[in-house]
Amino acid sequence: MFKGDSGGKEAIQAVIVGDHFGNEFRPVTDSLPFALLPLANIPLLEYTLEFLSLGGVDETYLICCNGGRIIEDYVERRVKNCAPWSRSMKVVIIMSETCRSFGDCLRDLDSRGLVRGNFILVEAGTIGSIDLKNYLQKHVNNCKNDKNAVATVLFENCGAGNPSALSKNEITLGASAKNRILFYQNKRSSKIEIPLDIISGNKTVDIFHNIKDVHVMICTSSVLPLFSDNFDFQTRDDFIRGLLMNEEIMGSTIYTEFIKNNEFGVGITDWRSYHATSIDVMHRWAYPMTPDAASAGLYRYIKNNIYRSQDVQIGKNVSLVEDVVIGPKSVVNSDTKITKSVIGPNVYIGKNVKIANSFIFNDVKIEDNVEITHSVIGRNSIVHSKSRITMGTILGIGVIIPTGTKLEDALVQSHDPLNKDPNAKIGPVAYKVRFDTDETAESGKESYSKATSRLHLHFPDEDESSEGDSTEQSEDLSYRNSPLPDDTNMFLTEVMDSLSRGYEDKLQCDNLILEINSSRYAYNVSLKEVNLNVVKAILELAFQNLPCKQSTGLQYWSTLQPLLKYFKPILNNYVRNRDAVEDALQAVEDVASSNSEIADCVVKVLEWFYDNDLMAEENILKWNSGLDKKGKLYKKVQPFISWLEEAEEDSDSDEED
Amino acid sequence: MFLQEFQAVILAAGKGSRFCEITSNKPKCLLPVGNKPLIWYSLHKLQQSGFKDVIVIVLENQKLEIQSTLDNYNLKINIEYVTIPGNEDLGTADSLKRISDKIKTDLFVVTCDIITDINFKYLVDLFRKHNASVCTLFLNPQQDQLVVPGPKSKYKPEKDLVGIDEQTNRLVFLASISDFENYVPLSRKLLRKHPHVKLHTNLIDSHVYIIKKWIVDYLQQEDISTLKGELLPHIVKKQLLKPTQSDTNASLINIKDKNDIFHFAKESELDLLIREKSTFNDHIGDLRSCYHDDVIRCYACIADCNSVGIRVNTLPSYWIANNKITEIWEKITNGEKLAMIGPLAEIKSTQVDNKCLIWDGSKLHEKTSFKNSTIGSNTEVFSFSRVFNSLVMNNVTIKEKVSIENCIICDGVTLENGSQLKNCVVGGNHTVTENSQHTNEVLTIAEQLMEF
Repeated sequence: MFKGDSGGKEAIQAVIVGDHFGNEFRPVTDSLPFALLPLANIPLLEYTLEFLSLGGVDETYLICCNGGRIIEDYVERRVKNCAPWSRSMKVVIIMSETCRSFGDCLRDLDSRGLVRGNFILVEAGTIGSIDLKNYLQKHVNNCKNDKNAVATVLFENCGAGNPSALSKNEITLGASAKNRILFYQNKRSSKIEIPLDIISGNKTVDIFHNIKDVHVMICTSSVLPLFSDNFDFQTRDDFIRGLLMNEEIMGSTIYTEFIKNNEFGVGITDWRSYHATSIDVMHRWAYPMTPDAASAGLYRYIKNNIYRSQDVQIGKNVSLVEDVVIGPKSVVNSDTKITKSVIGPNVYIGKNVKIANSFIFNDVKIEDNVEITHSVIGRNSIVHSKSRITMGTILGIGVIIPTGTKLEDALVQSHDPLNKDPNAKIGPVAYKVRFDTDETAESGKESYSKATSRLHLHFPDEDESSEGDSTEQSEDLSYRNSPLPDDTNMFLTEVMDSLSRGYEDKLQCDNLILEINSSRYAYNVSLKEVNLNVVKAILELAFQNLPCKQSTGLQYWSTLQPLLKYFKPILNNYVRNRDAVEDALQAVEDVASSNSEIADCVVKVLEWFYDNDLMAEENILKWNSGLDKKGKLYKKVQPFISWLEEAEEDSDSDEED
Repeated sequence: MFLQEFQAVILAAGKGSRFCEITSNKPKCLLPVGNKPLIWYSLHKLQQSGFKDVIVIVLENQKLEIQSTLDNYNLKINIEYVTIPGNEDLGTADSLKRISDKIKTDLFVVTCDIITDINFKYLVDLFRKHNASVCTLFLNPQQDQLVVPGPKSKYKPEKDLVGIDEQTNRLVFLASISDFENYVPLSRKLLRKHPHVKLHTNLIDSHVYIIKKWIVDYLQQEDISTLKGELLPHIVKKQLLKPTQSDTNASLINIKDKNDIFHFAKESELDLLIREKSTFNDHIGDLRSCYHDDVIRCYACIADCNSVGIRVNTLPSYWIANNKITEIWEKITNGEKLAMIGPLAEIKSTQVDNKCLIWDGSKLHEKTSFKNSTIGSNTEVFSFSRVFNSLVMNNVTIKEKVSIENCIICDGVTLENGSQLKNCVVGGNHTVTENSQHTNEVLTIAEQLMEF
């Protein structure tokens, strides 16, 4: 019907770059092209094509790279099946299998000379319901007013702190009064620095933050030659940045438009956006593209956004809480609980399984008593019973997880990676892998960025507070404007620094004591706190020296022991009277309450203190009586306490001990 | 006693250091604009807005002159003069500190050098609506390109960088552009809260502020001397802060927090309760409470493009104000007619065009010509002289065959026979010698300028 609208006018053309060119979605995309990655059990490409066709596009060029043949077959099959989009839109497939980046695809397209006029540039992961004609018209107007205008980029305004905008990167946009982009930053930083010449060169500059890239760019035909002329343009960001930076040389300008409040648009670039978009689709933001509409009659839409296929077998006492899609021919056995997850077609789920915030692709078998949260299970995988798969674990295709495996934040594939890492093997058909993406560069915060970059949606509240008031404005004002940095905490870190340096360089403990004392005066810490923090520092230091992050109490003890031995003179210096012993015990308790490792070996730690005459029985017994009787720590300590009590009785009876 | 909602304060102790050529021997607030002294416009505006009383802060040594001048103008508003010593270099915030004991309610601070037709209602409404800490009014710059008397130096205005949240009118960023070298840093936290900030570079601060009383109290113990330069940016920055919430160590805090801004900036329980019960929220997106629980809130109002607003604190703006005053008079005074020619002026000249303002007590002899000019009181212009496009203040003597074009002539100047001036500024009590010719110059008695 859109064809009728455009009448004799030029056909509206669109270009889809059909690949993602990154390691982000591996190993799931190892043998499945990114464009066909299912989202709510429908391939991404289907959404994109439907979006373009509803948006009024007449002709679409689909550039295929990895797995081009599979995509081609898929498109042909869909055309044959009269997919809705195929009725109003022609799809032309361009095979560019040698292309390795977004920029390469556009250079390839340029060399073919297929696109003549304005066109709409999207990516395979772009989903939306946007009236593209409206923005095309705006783009044409921009070009009329500014001969140098080459592109209009669409963004969505998310309002303050909207979680779905929280991709790894945050966009800050500076635009002139006429919507010309002056400044573009796509990275998260606590200070955003806007060049002064931009500001002083314009009467007003609008600064937009909390905006979402819709991944739709409306281009004039000169965009393609610009890519060809600049071989360093690899991504769309490169293009925007390059044009802004060399504005004088290239003489091209970019404009921006914000989509209306009732329109929806998103580009899937990583698992987090995949997750957020899945929820959005289930919440029907992408209407008319909803699971029940896309494959007519296949799903039944019931309350709490549950999409249940007709031929799903559901056992007794299964609870589908909210936001769940279950594909056809799947089986869910009794006592299973599923929430905020997508279950593909032909999936078998055993009894008493817990699935939350996860994506299970087709033909997966999950046995009894498995727990899956914030994870993706690739197709044909089998998860054997009693496994726990959590924290952004991604299983590739055909992976078999052995019984009782616990996985956190891991990428798992079915075949052996070539590097021989003995830790990598989980089972005969399951190997941990790493992909060298840009994330490894910031290795310091790796665990954090991993945990937040995959499915583990991390809501902004906590980092807001951790960012704190102190950093923001301390530059110009005295102590008043920020809460005082906690001297005691600073003291603790100072002590830890001293100790770790001392341990590495094998410094004299006497010197370290001097150092600690001087820190003590610098931060004005009481003797009590000194004792507490010195012991704490030694215990914490062992964590820093641990070989790997996940460790048992035993490993911890083996690293702690040499440290204790080395720092014994220091301990002797500080832990010398009854009060100090109490402080030391308090330190043990504090550290144990926040770390399970030390809780496991707390007995050993206490024993060491006892054996080295740093703590006396009565201190420990007194401390024990003050412990929370229901706490974990209390239970752990009990064997030692009873041994102590026995020993006491012994010594009471035989005088010679 | 019944308290007014606002107390009005006019700051008139400025020395006019930005255009000392003409303010060296006359209080800035008494410079003539049209046929009124500059401060009259602020007073009239407040009177028009419904204020019954106003505190005018003046320099000690200028008080008598200002008071006696203003007594001639029959203003209905009660003026209470407060003096501050003239020998110290005191800023606008210092002025406020001096009158803190007189301040019982929120303040409506106006400078003496604003000429505007903007209805203050909008500003007051903004203040009331959000229970703001500070509300400011910004003006759009005047578009006119006039040839300003004096040397042809490129006039560089001081530019402010004003960041205003587009949705809420929150003033979130305020600094002078000259504070930055290459980059303007904006904190992420700020942008998170205010996703669409418009940075303005060409706005002019009107120096009309509504200020909560607590800020004056807070000012007492801060080392801040100016309102615009220091206090406002300070308060605007403080908006991002949250009160420290550590009740555990109450005794400790009392010592430190005596000086803390949140010790002063407290909202009443009732206000908080009302906001809690209300469905109003100033932002969309996250599910945080209204204003993100900010205690300090600054708002800014930008004047309509078509409205008149001139801040007379530089020579160009003074020149513009004088040139446009006949045009904008009715707008400012709400339809009053401007008496162009004082009834007691003695005019024998036949060539006075209808754009001239002639004050009482001036004496224009025969065969003189005047176009688009203002002639102050007790000024005498002898025959065969002409005054075009110029501003002549009081007690000036213009001898014969003098030609003045596009000039500002200050009080007590004598222009000897045959002198010709074009685009000049003549400072107070100067004498221009016979038959001299000057263009684009500032003529003053040098010693007077030395002071500045």
